[in-house]
Amino acid sequence: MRINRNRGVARIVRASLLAGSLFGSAALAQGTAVLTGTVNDAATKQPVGDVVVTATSPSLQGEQVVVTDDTGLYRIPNLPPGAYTIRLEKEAYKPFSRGDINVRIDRTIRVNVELLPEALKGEEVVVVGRAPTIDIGSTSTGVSVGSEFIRNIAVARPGGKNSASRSFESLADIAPGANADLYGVSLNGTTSPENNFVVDGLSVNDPAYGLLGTPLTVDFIQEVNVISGAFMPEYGRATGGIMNVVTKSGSNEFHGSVFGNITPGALEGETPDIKREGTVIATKTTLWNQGDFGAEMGGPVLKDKLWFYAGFAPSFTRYRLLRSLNQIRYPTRPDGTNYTPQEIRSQGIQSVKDETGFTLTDPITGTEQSYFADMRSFQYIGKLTYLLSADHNLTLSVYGTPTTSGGQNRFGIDPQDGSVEVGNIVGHIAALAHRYTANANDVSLKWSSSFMDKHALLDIALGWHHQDSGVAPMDGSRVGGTQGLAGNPGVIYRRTQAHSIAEFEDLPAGSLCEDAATAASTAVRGAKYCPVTNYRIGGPSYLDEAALDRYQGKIVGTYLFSAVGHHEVKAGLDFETMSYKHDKGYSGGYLLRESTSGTNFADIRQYGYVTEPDVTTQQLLATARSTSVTGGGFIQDSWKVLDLFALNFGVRYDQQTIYGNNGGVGMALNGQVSPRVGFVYDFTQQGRSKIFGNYARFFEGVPLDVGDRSFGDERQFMRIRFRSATASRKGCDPLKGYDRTTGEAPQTKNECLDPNNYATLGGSTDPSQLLFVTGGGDRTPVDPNLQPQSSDEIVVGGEYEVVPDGSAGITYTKRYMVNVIEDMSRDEANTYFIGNPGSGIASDFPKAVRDYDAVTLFFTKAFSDNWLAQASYTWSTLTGNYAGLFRPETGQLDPNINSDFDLISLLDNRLGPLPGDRTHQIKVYGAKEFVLSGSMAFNLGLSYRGRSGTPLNYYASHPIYGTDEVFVFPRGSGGRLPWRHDVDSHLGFTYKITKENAVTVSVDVFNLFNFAGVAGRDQRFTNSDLQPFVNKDPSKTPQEAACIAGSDAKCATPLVHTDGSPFEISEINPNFKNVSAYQAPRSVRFGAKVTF
Amino acid sequence: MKLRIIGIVAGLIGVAAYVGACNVPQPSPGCPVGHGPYAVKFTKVTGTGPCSQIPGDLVGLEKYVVPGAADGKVAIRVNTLGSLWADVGRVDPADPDGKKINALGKIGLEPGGDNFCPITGVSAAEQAFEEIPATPNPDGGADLDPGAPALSIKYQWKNFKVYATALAPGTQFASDLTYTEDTCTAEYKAWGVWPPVACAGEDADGNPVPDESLCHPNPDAGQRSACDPNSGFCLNSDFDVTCDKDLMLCVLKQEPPSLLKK
Repeated sequence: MRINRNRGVARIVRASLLAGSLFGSAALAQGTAVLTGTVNDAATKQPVGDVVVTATSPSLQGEQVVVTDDTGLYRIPNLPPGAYTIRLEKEAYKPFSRGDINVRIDRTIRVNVELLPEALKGEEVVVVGRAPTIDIGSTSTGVSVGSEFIRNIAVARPGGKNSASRSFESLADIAPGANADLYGVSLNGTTSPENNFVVDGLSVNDPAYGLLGTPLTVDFIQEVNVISGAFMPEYGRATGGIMNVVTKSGSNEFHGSVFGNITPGALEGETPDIKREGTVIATKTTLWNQGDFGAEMGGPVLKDKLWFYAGFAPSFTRYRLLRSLNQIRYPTRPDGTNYTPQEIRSQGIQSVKDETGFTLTDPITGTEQSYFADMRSFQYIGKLTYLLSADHNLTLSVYGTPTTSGGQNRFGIDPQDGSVEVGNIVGHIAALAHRYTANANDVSLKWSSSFMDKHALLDIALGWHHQDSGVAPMDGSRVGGTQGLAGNPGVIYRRTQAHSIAEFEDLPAGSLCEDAATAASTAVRGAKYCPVTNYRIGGPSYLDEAALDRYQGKIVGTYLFSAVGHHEVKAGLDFETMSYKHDKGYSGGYLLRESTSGTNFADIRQYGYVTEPDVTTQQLLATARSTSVTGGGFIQDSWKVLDLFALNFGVRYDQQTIYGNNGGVGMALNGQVSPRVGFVYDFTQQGRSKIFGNYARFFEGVPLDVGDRSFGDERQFMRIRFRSATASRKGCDPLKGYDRTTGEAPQTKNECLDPNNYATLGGSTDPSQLLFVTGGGDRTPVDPNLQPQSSDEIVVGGEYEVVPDGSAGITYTKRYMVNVIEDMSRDEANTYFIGNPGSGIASDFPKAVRDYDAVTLFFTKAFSDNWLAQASYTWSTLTGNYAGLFRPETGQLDPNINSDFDLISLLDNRLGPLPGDRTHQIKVYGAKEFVLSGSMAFNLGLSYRGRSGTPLNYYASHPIYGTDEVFVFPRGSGGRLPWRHDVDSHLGFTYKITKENAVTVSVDVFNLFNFAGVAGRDQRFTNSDLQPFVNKDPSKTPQEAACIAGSDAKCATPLVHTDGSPFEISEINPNFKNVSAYQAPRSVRFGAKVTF
Repeated sequence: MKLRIIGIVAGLIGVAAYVGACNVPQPSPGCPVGHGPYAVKFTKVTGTGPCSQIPGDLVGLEKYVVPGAADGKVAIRVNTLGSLWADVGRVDPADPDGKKINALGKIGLEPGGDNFCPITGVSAAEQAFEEIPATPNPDGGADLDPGAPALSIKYQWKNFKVYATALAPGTQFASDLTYTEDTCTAEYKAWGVWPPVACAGEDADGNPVPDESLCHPNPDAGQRSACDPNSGFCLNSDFDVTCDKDLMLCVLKQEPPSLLKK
């Protein structure tokens, strides 16, 4: 489906993440970790049954007690993450106690114990080494990030999506094989909307687009488990990874903190200027400041029974946009005076260019103007954990992240990618600025019970995720209304013979810009000194309001029994319904666009329908409602075969139905059977090693954007209105009566609506002669044999504990798509259908391919002995013709209906290295704490990230779809970007006022050496439309085989336009292959925190 | 132990039942009607005279459904009639705006069991163009403009049905047509396909001749479907089409649904 280019293409985002310094506040949550092991008699080496094992921790309400069975096995499930002590007691044995066992979220840690018989005397009891750290229960890959990591390492780089509030999503970037992409973090070659974000058991994805819906700050979070692959059937409906987040809870003592952070824009490093073709309007955007502050506290309401936790954290981000006007530089007359525009035209005088061929400009003094773009967010959380008895507990969490940006005379920040909504202010602020709303609120209730001495467990979770979002005019008037800016139509000027900026804005005396009022003929033949080729006036065009909801419930039962080893069987059911109510409209009812000739204006966007030939009803507000119902279940067994190795196998089943605007089925995704099978072998049998392998199939949970755009009964029609007045018509000229202060063009509400101005559009076979239907409201047909989108994964690897608390390992991951759902068209964008490219009714389309292979070497040492370290190297390849749920080439976010497979004319040259392909990635993190005295300590953290560059392409335009949609040469033909290096540092100083209270001040410096690595190059080969070049000569590369007709006399295989006419050298983009972006410059964040 | 086995088996049966109940069929494509002209082949059923020798025409369809309504309307406009009005400038004094050039009928929202959407109650598309008097030459001799006699044309469609499946969403139709030109009447069977793809090639002398290959995909040249060189629109490669020598357009070979056997 075509991009709805309503807000412009997003800029390159600086990968950025933030996290504050958590310090020690204990947290309890519904646990998912397991402590297990076998108890043997130290003398006879036989298993000992009936040993009482007691586990305690500051994270745990009360204590958990189990008894070993006759094979000596004990198992304590449902533990919240934290530091544990286990104590083992049995008559006739010496009691045994071991502390400092670090249990992390979702992990199974094995601690085997040998009990000394009491009768044994005269032997020294030696405390043997450290508790083991390897998760021997599962094959899943990824990292677990907890408070010590966040406290010691600079995380959450300022300047990117949700960086002011330091959202937890950025922590995923630490996992091997993870990379920030335009809308979040991509894991293992997938795209960020494919991940599933689970907070306290509730999925908080945006129901319409799959992005993270609730970007909760790391200060409210106890631990995050980033699962990048090979997870068991209990996690599903994601073809990316899972981020499992557990929020903090209270404890038996009052603990909390008050914190604040600020990133001053003044301390940002300098970025090199990007050389590009000179333009009349230029805008420089810099970070002004960014910061947050807040408080959080937890404690007991009833000791060991009822705990509470609460917090709030407002945050803000502000960018400054400095706009200035320039005029094109022309040579002067011999006497030093300036040529008039008429002389420039008649004598063919060329503007002055620099050595690269770029036009030079001179600033017009007195035109500098400063604007701000800002975003404000307020995060809150309230939580209660209630222990009914040792076997039953209940947790209620309420949290949210209401966020707004923009406002009167300010620009907004797009909440989806964190970028300022305009890169260059080419128009009146009323037409360009919007107020964005992105509110998320969540409620979740979890119940956990255990029976039969923890041999049977039952977990029930219910939750509601709600989002309100919207795009409004900067004055806050509402979509569908006629008051305020919402009632003003927008107008785009884009005539090929450029307008002069003087036609739209007042300029100071002394500028050479042509004044349209006095130079009518100049205006027609193109401004010389101050041309603008793209300018917006009027109202803010696309506006919307949306309400999104997800209701979910799940129930999981676990049962342990012995049969040829130990079995842990889990089975569960879950149910989810999503709804997306979307009100949309164009300010003033329609968006006008000037033709390239300048003689008429077309309504390129207008909601409305036709009732009879040439009879229309315009819709100021178009409403679409789509819903989805998903049900799923799974059953899995973790089987410890003869207590030697573990076999994990299971199957998951899901079914999703998406309903469209009329309440009828839009699309059904049946038969989602995901088998998973894996093995884990611990050759030390001590919890210190593992060799594992896993096969899994994953299915995508389809977000509701497809319901809204493909099944939403969206109607559009278009008319064309002549600009000039004649005897029979008044003409439609928005610049007549244009108010330069408010941006309003009154003719758009009057003369432009006069039918006498309409042009005849229809041919002899078009029943409507004065209009064109651009959106007919027919729902997109769906292949009767549609297969749900899925991908397969194979992982093998090994891990070994080489130093206490530290392990090293190697993994190999392979992922490939099985089926992809996309919309396609056989008739060049006139009618679409939804199917699987390469099969069913789309078998004549190429198959959708995304192949990922990666080998990772890693070393991880958890924080102990005052230091931590983590290092990984990943070699990977990512090739295919399908990137995922958004198109990195253009930023189009339309999951399962983007333009990748739309047109047959666009399908050539698409197979190759995908935009996320980085051959080498190195991540190194290290931190050490230095204790100066009893009350003072400072910690130092350093991180290095190096990665090789992503591939570059040759883009051209398509007559219907616009720029950057055609691959002139095969994907990746343009070479690669260079290596990028990032060095970040963290320095913190802590002073303990009393045993419980401490003050910490910290400084994070990102991009410490202010490296200015090249982050992007202009890949647009030409703005003109071109046919993809198909190389028939195997002895040459496509660039060698292709030629340009004008420049090469014997050009046998020239580049040609869509209509067959030859491409000319002058059409090559002068900026092609030049740097378009540098990496984010150095930035500094100061933080302070008081913990109690 | 027994209890555990019974419990597990009962659970599995429950899950299987839940699973089996959960296959939802995909919806029908509704009754979409392709925008823009169809290439329509006329096959004579009865009639004599010049009005019974028309090979076919381009016919445009446009659908109108008020959001939430239970049915809609379709307008049918034939190229010959529309062109006489717009390009040649013929006028029917009783209908100078040419409103009756469109035939209007009713269409439902869902196809019938045969995958066709009928268009019922179609009004006649008719114009009674007045005579254009000849323009005499002021210098004597032959007339500058010979003028044209009065001309009355009428198209009456009956049993119009549009084929609607996910593979061919409103891109084929079939209808009976009664065509009247002055006093001559003929009955035709009309088969229409969207989009119209020109299949005119050239012979050695540069004269246009029908080129069948232009109506079929050319995998060797990397063309997955037959596309019109001007519009860029491509025929569904599953359609059974052939190049009509009189129209120089690709038309359906069989009565709709005209599909290649797989």
